[in-house]
Amino acid sequence: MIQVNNLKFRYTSEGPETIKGITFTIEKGQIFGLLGPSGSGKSTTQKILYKLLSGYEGSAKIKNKEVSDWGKELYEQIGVGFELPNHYLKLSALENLKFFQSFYGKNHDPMKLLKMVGLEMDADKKVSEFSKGMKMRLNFVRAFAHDPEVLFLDEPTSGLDPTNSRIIKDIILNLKKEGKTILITTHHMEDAEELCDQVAFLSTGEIKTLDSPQNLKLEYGKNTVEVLTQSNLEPITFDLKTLKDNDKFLDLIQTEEIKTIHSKEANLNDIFIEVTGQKLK
Amino acid sequence: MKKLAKLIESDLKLIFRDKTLLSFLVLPIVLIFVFKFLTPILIEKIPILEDYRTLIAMFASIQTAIMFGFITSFLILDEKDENVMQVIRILPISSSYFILYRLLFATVFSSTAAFFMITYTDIANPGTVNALLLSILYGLTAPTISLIIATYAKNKVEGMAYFKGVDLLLMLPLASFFVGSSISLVFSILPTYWTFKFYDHSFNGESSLNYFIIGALFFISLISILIIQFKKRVFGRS
Repeated sequence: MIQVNNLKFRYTSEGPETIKGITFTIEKGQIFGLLGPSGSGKSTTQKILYKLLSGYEGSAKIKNKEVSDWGKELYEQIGVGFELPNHYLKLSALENLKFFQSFYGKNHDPMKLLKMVGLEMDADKKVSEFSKGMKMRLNFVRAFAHDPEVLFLDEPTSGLDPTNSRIIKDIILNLKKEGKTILITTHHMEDAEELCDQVAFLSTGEIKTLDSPQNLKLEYGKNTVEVLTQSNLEPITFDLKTLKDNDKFLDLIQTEEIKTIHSKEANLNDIFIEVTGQKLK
Repeated sequence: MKKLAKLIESDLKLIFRDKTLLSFLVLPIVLIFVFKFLTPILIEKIPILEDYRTLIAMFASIQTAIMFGFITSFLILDEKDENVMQVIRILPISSSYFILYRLLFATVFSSTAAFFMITYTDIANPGTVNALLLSILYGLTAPTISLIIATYAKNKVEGMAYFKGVDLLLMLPLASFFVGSSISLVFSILPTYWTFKFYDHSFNGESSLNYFIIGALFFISLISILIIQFKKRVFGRS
């Protein structure tokens, strides 16, 4: 659905390259995460793909057509959820949705969309009276209000409380089930781990590594299990591969009271730091 | 047409929900009535004003016409402030469609108000055809002022300052009627010079169409340059 090949971009002809030859492919129905700290090139990459930035080198294709060759009809195919709220503050949530929907051929029922993110009771309230979280939820539903095939979501859970963050993530997973292709940029590793089929670690305009979260965790994790028992102050470490034949481990779990037991796979945050040498936030 | 209707509906809602914009929408109507009823009284009290009928009408018409330029420019400034411009750029309509609609919106309202100011107040009525042509020239001041403010002002405070400055500049050619003909040409670098000349000549029954043509071409050229600037600065591409 999306093919990016050796993509390069600089904001001014004399300036440094912001994107330095990145390559990735997103298949239909996949959720792809672009992960990186501020200034790593995540948003620039997205903006190139939805044509807010032009004049790139290399190739960026959506539905097998070069982005630069797409006209305005591209926006019938894609939806964009921006990182910051952008609504007409003097219009209500429902009026905002209806206004933007009026430019598209097909649309979801705006009230159903508002209900999905718990805004149905605030449908007729002016957006200027909304909290940041409410504006972000409105941003989110507007992105797919016209039922696009491809979605670009920039920090979709930013500014949301855990309950609403859960609702948004569930909707994203449902959109995937419907066959939507989704590109998410985020620095929330937990979200990426839960949502993404593939993640690319972006740092200083380069992709440092690209794989599924599961593979990355296996590759960079330690093949060990740590067991903490009631009688020991320090956890005891066992090799995961030989665990079933490890007499000491088997004896321990039969005779001791176990306080905690953890496999030591790495989390994406640790892997990001190891791969890029940078922190995410 | 559905898109156009939605744009107009949404713009009217935005205007009616903003006290400043609403007052600028009502102001032309107030001005028309004030000039209609106040001018004869003033002329009666100060008879010398009789000689300045056309100048009063020129001033009244330009003040009426620019209000809609202010309204549309502030609608765009709001869209810039609220980051809505970003969303407009990813809609399946071209940015030109959006800009042209807004400019047409300003021109139509502005021309209509100017036409009523010229004909209904009857301060200096040059006849229906000339009044229509004058309305077009006055109408074109609205997109001009709107584009200048929306392109160069960073916020509403700056927008208000630009509005006052541009208003003053557009009125400046009125001074050309108080100076010798050679000096008055200095004001021809401003588009309203040609509007005022057309008004003066058409009201006095003199040959005037050249002034209309030059004025219209001047405004259209200026608006075209401003559109390019607007696209570059506000939409980020030309």
